[in-house]
Amino acid sequence: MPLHSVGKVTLFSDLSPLVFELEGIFVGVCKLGGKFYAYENVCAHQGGPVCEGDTYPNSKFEPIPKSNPNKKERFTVSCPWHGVEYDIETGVCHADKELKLRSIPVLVKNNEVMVKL
Amino acid sequence: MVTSSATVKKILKATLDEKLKRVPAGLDNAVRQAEERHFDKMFIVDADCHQEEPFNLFLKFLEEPYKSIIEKENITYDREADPFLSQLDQGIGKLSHKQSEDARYLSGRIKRSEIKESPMSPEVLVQVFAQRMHDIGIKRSVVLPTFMLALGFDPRPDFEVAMSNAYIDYMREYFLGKYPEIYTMIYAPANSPRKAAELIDRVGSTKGIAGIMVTSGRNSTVDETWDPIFESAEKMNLPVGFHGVPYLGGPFAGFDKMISIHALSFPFYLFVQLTGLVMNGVPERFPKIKFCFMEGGLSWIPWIMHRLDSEYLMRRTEAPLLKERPSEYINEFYYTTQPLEHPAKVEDQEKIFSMFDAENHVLYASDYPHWDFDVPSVVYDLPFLSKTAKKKILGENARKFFRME
Repeated sequence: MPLHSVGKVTLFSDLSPLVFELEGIFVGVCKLGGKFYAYENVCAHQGGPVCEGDTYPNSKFEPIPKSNPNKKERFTVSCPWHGVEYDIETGVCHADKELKLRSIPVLVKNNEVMVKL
Repeated sequence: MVTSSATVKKILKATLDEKLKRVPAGLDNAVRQAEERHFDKMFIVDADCHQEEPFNLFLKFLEEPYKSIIEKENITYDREADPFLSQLDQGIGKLSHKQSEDARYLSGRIKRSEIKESPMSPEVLVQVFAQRMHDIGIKRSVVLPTFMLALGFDPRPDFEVAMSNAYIDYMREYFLGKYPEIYTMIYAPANSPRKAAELIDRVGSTKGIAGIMVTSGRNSTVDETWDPIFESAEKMNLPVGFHGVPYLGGPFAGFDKMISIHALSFPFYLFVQLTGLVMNGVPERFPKIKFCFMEGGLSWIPWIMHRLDSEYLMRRTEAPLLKERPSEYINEFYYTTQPLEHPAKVEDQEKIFSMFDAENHVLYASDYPHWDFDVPSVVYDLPFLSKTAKKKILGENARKFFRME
């Protein structure tokens, strides 16, 4: 699988995914806490452009339980067609664990963000 | 941001490329689905999609006092005080209009650009519906109103009559017969059956009229007083569709969330009207009319069949016009797919399809551009449907039901 450079690390801001067309496939790349995550820009629900949707911390809609105040914050991307939500780190749908985004390998090499397709 | 560098190989065909609008959160992925599945070679009919009625264009078809009611639809007018306009909030009665908008579009998370075009001008409507629907593989669209779906509960039957006449006159002037891909249904003001019949008689033979639509949410239920509607439908050879509705009143008044209201009220009013229709023997008395139930999904159909059959076994004398079990009639009705349910086990969905004559009586519908729309691939990708069943549900059943060319 060839590597495709999609830009310098500095191109990316946390929770602001960018979508790239690579080999006819649209790939969303998201920076989160110094790490990168990449998914095909196709929602597992009806195929919407999921990576073009809103991103936000889960605590925006799910209050952190008092019993576990130190629980690690997680982050969500929400498909702009119907609002179906996925965990950015795992690509798993919040409401239906069987729905998963297609994960694309992504790495940083010489300060370049590289996607493996 | 969509970028392409020198190293990026473009493999998209020019014809596809022309269809891609590259609008953020737009329908490009549905265009690609259509390409991959060769929807261009299929006759796909969207049996239920919507416009947000441009009321300013209705004005010339309305007389006073109705004209003034519509003219008052602006931010200085007390929407809450008007029975119809307050219903425009679409079932979020405890929330302000702004909060209601937020709830419907998930606090802005639903971002498709076309939902911001409100209300659509006729030019935008044609551009959005005819062109965009063609791009995603749809060849014919039955365009129905949005706000008027709430008119059934309006306490002014004369207002419902005036609006239904204005709606069809607006559609006749701007669309019907001019754009062969766009159809509509006559909004039947069912709170005034004789007036509804007059409307059907007046415009029923217009090119582009696909049938008669009754918004199912209303305080009246199908009984013999509705006969003038069915007499006209039969005379004009038009099918009758009952459309679901989000409603804030009645049993839903206590809900504080759209998820609760929306999930229940759409199928609720469909099975209310279906029950009235069957138990009053309408299919026996008007055997030529085809009936459809729209925007309630499909999973309620086996439930209502079994429920009514078991009551009929014991209380048959209360429905003396029936010659068969209720489910036999229900099996002859038509149903639109959207919003198609997503059960965890696909075999459960297959079972639901097998519990009535889904292959021959289900019509694909998108509900586009509403927030819970379904693209055609939702039906096409169902793993248990044969190629023939897909063709029927996506278009051929609708061709038959609406008598489309």
